[in-house]
Amino acid sequence: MRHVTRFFRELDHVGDLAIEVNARSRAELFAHALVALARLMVAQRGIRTVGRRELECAADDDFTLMHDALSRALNLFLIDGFIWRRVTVEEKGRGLAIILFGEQYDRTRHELLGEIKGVTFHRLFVGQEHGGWRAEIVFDV
Amino acid sequence: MELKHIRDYLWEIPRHGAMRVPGRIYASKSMLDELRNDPALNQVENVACLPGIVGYSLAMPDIHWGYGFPIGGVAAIDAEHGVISPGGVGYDINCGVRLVRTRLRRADIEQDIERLADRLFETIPAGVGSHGAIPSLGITELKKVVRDGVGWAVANGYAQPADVERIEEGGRLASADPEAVSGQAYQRGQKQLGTLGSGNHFLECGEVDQIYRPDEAGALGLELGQVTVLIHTGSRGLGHQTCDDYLKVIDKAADRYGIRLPDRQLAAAPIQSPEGQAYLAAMAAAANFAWCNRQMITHLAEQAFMQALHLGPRELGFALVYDVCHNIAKFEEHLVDGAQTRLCVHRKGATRAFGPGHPALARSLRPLGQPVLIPGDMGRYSFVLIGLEHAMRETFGSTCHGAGRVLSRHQAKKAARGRDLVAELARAGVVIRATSRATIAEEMPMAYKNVADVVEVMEAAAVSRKVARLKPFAVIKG
Repeated sequence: MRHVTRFFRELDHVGDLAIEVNARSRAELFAHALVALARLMVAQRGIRTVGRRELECAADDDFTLMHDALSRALNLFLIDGFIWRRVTVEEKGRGLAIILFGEQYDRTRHELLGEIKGVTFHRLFVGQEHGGWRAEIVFDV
Repeated sequence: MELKHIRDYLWEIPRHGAMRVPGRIYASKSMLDELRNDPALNQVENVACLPGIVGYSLAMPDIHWGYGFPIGGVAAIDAEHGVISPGGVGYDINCGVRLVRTRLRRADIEQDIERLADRLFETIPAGVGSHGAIPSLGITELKKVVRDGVGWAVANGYAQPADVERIEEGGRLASADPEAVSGQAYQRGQKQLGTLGSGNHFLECGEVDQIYRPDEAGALGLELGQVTVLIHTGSRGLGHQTCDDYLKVIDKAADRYGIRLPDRQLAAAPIQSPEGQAYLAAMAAAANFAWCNRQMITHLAEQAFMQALHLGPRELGFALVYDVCHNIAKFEEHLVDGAQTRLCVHRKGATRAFGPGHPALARSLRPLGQPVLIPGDMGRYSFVLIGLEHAMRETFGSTCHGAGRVLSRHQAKKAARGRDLVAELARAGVVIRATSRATIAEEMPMAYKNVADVVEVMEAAAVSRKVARLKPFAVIKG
């Protein structure tokens, strides 16, 4: 395993791209996962936090919630070209209120690191461990 | 896991537990030794539990772990009483390969290869954020694309009518329903018609460097030294979103219909259920988009060749050899227990390989059998095969689809550290253009098995046989 950062690291996966995310709380786990997604796609330096996008997500379980939150954010990038560097997440009932801070992707200013095509349910894990929160996510690339 | 040796290159997982049929794996002894502890073999067992599966749960020699189904898996399921599983098709619906031949010889363009690579890279949008060189289509027009597939390209002057018979299914599944595709999927596909995409997708200019069967190669218009173009891509964001949309629908339907499977990612619904029919209609729409996408890239590649080499279309002689899909579920007739039976054949990382005489092939190809295109890694070679009659009896007319990865993407990036892969490939005679260095590292030749070993297994099993080998000299990647 490599690419250890404070809150996520890349895991071995032959076909696709897998990460482990850690956090102190559930809301922070989702925020970290969303930042990790952006960091895997575009180099963070040079992304200005001059714009924001708001998402509200709700689901019956944390697995589906993680899948849906990441998928919706991914589509913000893939469809609207919005890339973010900072994320806030607040618990809202059974769901989450998410704000992504960033700007429009610009090929001339931003360094593309790789394309992520989808968020999968493959090996998806979201749960509490050792007093903190942990997620494992596999992206289709 | 118990593995029974049936004969050379064929192994069986005997039926046990909830398996409805045995599993069968095409592999050499050394490949099998590497696979023994691989979860992909458990996935072969899991697929064997699907309601309505007939014959065997099959695995090709390029098998590796996928979502629910293994990549390199084939499952034929009774069309009336069986199930459809999006996991048996995959995210990139109708990911596939097409081969174009030219009138050029490698020797004639030796001095122009760098310029050609530049022109192709400029002309064909590749990675994320790239938009089609084809003007962005409105939803109404996009619905025509997913309804008509390559027919849309013919109607709009991007393809010749004769191209259609050189494409699996004629480049269109008639069961497509544009209304079964979500608005979000259309949004993702709107700017992507005629784009290559990233990851393992590519456009590769190659040279026919070996002919194994001159008669068959001649019938396909292939000769030694000839310049060819191989295109590997699929349905882009439209297909991915369609898969994602329907995974949830089918997952819920599986519960509703009481379909219990060993892995949630195998989620399946009865083919005849409203959910199953809706998925099939959307999958067909995404498949049509993919065929049209490969056609549009062919059109753009032809323009790039003409501009870079200052040639007219006649001198260039761009002509489609064939186009195959390797992620799809289709209805086909096969012999099951002596009776002709309508089946839904799921091929995920596997290629249709119909033998000579099959009525699904165009008249011009019928005496020959179906051409099969097997891309390798970007440093070595790719193969043109032909389907054999035996495939119809053994594998529901299916063969392998590619080399199969051996290194994860980040293992590959680690192995690439400190190396100049672009220079290494150049020394091996391959010019590469890519939007990101990370992609080159992830896709380095050593990240893949040797595709020659994979196609040898299928030839030894008499499922498909080699016709020609293509050596790449210019590769465009997202």
